[in-house]
Amino acid sequence: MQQFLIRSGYGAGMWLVLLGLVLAGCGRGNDATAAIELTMVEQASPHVGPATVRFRLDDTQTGQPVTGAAIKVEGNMTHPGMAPSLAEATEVAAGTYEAEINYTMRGDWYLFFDIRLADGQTLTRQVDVPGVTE
Amino acid sequence: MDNAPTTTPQSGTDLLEWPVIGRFLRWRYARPAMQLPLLLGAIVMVAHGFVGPQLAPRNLASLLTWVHYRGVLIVVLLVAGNFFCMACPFMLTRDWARRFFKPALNWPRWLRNKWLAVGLLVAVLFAYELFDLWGSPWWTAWLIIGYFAAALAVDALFKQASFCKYVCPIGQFNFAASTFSPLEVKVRDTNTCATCTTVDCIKGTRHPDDRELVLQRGCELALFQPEKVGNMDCTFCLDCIHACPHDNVGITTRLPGSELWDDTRRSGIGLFSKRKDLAALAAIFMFGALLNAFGMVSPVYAVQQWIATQLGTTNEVPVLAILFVALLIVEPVLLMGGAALWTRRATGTPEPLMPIMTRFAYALIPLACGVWAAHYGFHLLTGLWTFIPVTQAAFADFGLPFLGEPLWQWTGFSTGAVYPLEIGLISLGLLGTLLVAYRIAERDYPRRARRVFIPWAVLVVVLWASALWLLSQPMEMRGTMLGG
Ligand code: SF4
Ligand code: SF4
Repeated sequence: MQQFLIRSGYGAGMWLVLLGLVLAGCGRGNDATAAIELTMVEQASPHVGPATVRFRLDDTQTGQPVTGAAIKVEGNMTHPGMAPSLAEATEVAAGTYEAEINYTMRGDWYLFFDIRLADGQTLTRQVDVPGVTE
Repeated sequence: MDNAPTTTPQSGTDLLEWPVIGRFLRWRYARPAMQLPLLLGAIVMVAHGFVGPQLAPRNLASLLTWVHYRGVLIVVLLVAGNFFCMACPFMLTRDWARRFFKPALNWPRWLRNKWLAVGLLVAVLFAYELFDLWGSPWWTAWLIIGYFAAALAVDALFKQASFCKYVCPIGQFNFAASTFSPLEVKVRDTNTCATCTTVDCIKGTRHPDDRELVLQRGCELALFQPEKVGNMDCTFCLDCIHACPHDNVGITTRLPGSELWDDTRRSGIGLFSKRKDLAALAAIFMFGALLNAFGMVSPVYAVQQWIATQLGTTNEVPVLAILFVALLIVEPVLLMGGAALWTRRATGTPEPLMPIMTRFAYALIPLACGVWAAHYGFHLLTGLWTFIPVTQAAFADFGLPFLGEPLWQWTGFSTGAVYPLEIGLISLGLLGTLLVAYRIAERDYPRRARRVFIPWAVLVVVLWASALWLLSQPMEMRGTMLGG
C-alpha cells in the first residue's frame, strides 16, 4: 500500500514536471471569431462605485456592427477571490452595448465579456481597467 | 537522557485516542494518503496555470494558492497543528526519488540554522510583491513546479529532512505559527522513555536480521521525543509515532503558545534564548505579517511613489528593497532595541541588548498569528466559494464540461461581515502576546517582572494598533505600483 501511494506520488510528480514543460510551450487554439472586435466606446470609469460600461462590437472583416448578441459582463479584480460584479449587457444602438458594473474597491480590475452571437457562436473578450481609484 | 525536560504525565486529550481520526492517524499510510490528494490538486493547478485563462480569479493555480491554500493553512495551524506539513506533497515525490538517489551528504554544519530559510522567506515575500504573484497563474504554476524541484534536489543530495528543516520557507512559516497551535506531538509517559533502550523514535526501526535495513524511519528533523519541547521544527510526519515500539508518542492538546516562554533545552534546537536565528524568524514572522498586509492597502502606493520620487526612478526593485529594509530590519531593530534598552534601565543591569531582544522576540508570535489569520482569513472568507465556478470552468477548459455552467455569482462573505472577525483575531493575538511577554519577564526577571513587562507591552500595543490601522485603510490591489 505504501509502495503504491509513494509510487503514485512519484509518478504524479514526474507528470507534473513534464506537464509543466509541455504546457508552458503550448499556444492557444485559433479563434474562429477572431474578426469580432470589442472596443470601449466610453472607457469604464476608473472610480469606485457603479459605472456604465459602453462598448461596441464590430466585425472587422465586413466592417459591420455586430447586432443581436447576448453578452454577460463580469467586472472583477485582478486579485483572485474577490467578489465580481456581474451584469447582462443591453444593446442601445446597432452594435453598441451597455452594462452596469459596480467597482467595489480600489485597485486593478478587468472586464470579461462572455459573448453569444446571434448565430450561436460564442467568444470571450477581456479589457483591463487598471487603477480604479476613489 | 540527562537533559530530559521534566515532563508531567499527560493530562490533555490525545488525538490518537479519538475513534475515527485516531485510527486513521495510526494507520501506517496516513501521511501518503493525505499527501496524494494534495499532489493531484497541485497537478491540476499547474495544468490550469499553464493552459487555463490567464486571469487570476478564473484560474485554479492562482485562486487555490493565494486564496484557499493560504487561508486554510493558517486556520488549521491555529485550530489544530502543523497538518499541512504532514500532508505536504513535496515530501511524497522526494520519498519516492530517494529510492533511486540515496543522499550521501550531510547538510553543511555552517548552514544548520534558520538564516538561509529566513532569507528565503523574505525573498518569497519580496517576489510576491515585485512580481504580483497573486495576479499571475503562469508564474504561480512555475512557483509550484520550482518548489517540487527544489525539495527534490535538496533532499536527493542531503540526508534527513534537510529541505524541511533548513530551507523551506513555507515550513518555517508553519513552524513559527505551530508554536501557537493547540496540538503537539509528544511522549505520553516520560518514565517509559527513561527505560527505553532502542530509541526507535529517533533512530528508526531496523530489521532484526539486517541492521542496515530501516523498516520505519525515525525523526528526520533530529527531534528526540523525550527531549522534544513544543512544535518548532516538527512536521507532524508521524514517523516517531509509527517507530516507537512502546506506543508512547501521541498528538496531545496543550495551552497554545506555552512553549514560547519555555526555555528548556530542546532536542534538535537547543535553547530558544540562545538562538538568534529563531528569534529573527519570530521577528520576521511578525513584521512580515504587517508588511504583507501593508501591501494590500492604499497608503502603500503613496509611500512607494514618494520613495520613487526621492530616488528619481520608476524601477520597482530599489523602491521595494528600501521598503523591505525599513519594515523588516530598521523598524524591528528600533522598536525591539528600544524595548530592550528600556528593559535594561528597568533592571539596572549592564546586560547587552541582543540577548534581551532574542528572548522576547518569541512573544511576538501570537500577535503575528493574529495578523496573518486576519489577512489570509479575509481572502479565504470573502472568496470562499469562488473555487466552485472556477473548478466548473476549469473542467470545461479541459474539455470536460460535466460540472455545468459556472456559478460565477458564488463568491463568499462580504467584506463588512469579515471585518469584526479580523479585529477579533488580531486582538486575540494581542492577548496571547501580552501573556507570553509577561511570562518571559517573570521567568527571566522574577523580582521585576512587571517593570520589565511594561516596555514589551507598549511595543506590542503599538504593533497591534498599527495592525488595526492597516485594517481600517481602504484596500487597494494593484499590480503596477509606480505611475499605475
Ligand atoms: S522510542 Fe518511544 S519509548 Fe523509546 S525514547 Fe522514543 S518515544 Fe520514548
Ligand atoms: S518524527 Fe519528528 S518531525 Fe515527525 S512528528 Fe515526530 S517529532 Fe515531529
